[in-house]
Amino acid sequence: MASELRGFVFAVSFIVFFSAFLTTIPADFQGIEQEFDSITPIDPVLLSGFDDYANYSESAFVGWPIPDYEYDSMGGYNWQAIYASDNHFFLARKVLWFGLWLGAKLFADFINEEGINNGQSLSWAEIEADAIDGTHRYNLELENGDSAGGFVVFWNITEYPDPNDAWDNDEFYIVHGLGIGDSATTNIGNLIIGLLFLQIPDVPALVNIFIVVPIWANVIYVLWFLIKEMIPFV
Amino acid sequence: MGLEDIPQDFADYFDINLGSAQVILSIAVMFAVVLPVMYLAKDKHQLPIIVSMFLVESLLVGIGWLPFWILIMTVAVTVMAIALLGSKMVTGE
Repeated sequence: MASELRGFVFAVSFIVFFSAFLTTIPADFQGIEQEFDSITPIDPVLLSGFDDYANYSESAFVGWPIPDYEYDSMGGYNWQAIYASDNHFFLARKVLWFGLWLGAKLFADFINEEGINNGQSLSWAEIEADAIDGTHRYNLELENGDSAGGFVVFWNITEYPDPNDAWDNDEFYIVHGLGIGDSATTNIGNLIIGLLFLQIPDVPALVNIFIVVPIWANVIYVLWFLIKEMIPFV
Repeated sequence: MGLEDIPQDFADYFDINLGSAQVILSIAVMFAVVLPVMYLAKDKHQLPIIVSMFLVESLLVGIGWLPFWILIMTVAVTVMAIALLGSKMVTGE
């Protein structure tokens, strides 16, 4: 009995201290800022401050009648960009349930550099009105108040003065990025869940398994001990 | 040349891959700090050794020489030791 109690104390201590220690690791340690080397050059000021990003253009959007582009694990979250048939963009963060997406999502508001909220859809007219020299950076705010990072649009490096024409010719570029402070792993709950379900980005799966096995073992031991103690005849 | 570039230059000079260069340089820096601390602690005080190891490792992760998960692994091992000692103290075994 004493050895079981010792095991229980060990397991509880391990889980509590591990969670507590993880919260003390600064989010900045999860990677130095990435270089934007895979996209066409643009004013770097518009792209600064992103810890993780996705870049895409018209050719990435697939599906009918509402084309969308889904990109997973950007900043630790899964995303869906939608180009509605009435020429509006929408951007949403998928809401996962135990690692599974059942269709729930949080839409983002597009807030321009002057602080004016364009709402959850972004039209060509709004982009043209906001853009200076064919570029603009929107701040994204989700329905629940969380930041969804920045949304940079640009077509100034193309021969098309009109963004809609640039879009039709696959030369309207979008960069959606998250800053270090916005990335999912700054949230201790997400970091622990990511560890438990092998979803931490940039960590080799084998290493993740190596880390997570003792945690699962301790969780199972605690549950087993509690259940055993609650049932008197076991 | 920034601190972040040193492993790449090291790897180029010795014609090894970047990961190996990062590990070799990180071990060198760790030993340079932790070994003197171990000598000064003289096997009596483990706390300064653990603290110095964490500090050096944090520095190396911060400048990008070591991946983030190394820090998580160190936390896990340290917590395991704490939990072992704690359970021994609580249960008296």
